[in-house]
Amino acid sequence: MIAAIGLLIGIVLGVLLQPDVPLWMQPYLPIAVVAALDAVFGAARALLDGVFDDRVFVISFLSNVVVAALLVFLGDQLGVGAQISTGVVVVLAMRIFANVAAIRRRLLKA
Amino acid sequence: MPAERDPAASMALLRELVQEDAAVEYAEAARRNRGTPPGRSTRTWFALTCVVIAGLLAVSVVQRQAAAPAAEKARQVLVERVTQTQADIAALEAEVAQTRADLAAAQEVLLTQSDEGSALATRIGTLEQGAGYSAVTGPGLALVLAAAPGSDPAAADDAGRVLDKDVQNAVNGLWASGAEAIAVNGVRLTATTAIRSAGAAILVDFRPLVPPYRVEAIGDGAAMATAFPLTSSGRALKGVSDQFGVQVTIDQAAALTLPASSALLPVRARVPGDPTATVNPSPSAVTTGKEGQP
Repeated sequence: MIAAIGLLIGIVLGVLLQPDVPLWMQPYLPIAVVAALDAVFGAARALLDGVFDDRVFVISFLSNVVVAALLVFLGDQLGVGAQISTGVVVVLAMRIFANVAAIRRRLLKA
Repeated sequence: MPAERDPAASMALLRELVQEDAAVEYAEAARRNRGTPPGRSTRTWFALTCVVIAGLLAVSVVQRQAAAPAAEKARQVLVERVTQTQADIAALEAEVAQTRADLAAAQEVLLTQSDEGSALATRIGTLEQGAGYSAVTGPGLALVLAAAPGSDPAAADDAGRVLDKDVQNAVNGLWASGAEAIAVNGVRLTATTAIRSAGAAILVDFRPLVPPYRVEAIGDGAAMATAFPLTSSGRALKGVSDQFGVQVTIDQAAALTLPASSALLPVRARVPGDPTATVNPSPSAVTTGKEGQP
């Protein structure tokens, strides 16, 4: 319930305010979104498993975003920003796939 | 790690990546605090995180959506600028034509006041026609160059395409067959007009032309039609036509009208018979022979 309301408020805020993303932040935004999606699917899986925990969710989200952004930042400084971005996205996408597969197994028993 | 090792050991990395996911963290946390309901601050943090996640998603989607129209707008501005510049060029060309006409009229008035002047005016008229400075009308011949049937005009490496070399051959062959004036797709040729290509487009007088290319030549149509295939350029064109399928059609025309060239006057001209004297079109800047070297 809280989650649904929170998500709704977030979307409304994002669409209404349309904050200007500063230029230095733009390469990190898609990475942050993918990291957030990973946290969300992990949470959804845990919810279905009946082991969901708010604290773990908050911390996993924050650490995901921070680590992903740090990696990309470091890559940018070393001149391999694009490659690290790709690596981060690939790993996060794989985790999302694994979580979605687990959710599917649980929901559809297949 | 399972007891029996995976024959593809490198797969271990992939499996680890997938298995070390959030499920483990959640399972551990669940074991630690079984039954204790989350505290107030944790709930607040959870709600905040939800807001942030949804906000991130919304912002990045909105950003993407906003970026596309911006690019389209920039393109539109560029297109407008091109159209505007083309209109400006057309206006300036019209002005040039008007000024030329005024000049010719004034010259005519001055020259017809004496017999000597009249002779000079006739000579100027003849020279102007040859130089492409004035429009000419007369019988002649039209040579049309078209790409081989079934060839892709956009592909730069298509052998059936008409090349700048083919247009050059057509023009050179027609000059050699006795043409008095030539225009390609309505662009009049002078002694210094360039025929070249830029990418897939053929430029004549630095204007891109759209195929098919219609080379119009004023002169004795029947004589030119006979002489053209015998010139070296005509033979080269025939070879291209036989080998690559480029279509060459020649038709005699009773009346052709070729426009004046829009090219400016030559920057330098040499007086025949006097190698040291050069005449500059602007009377105040007569140059010496040294500067006249090409």
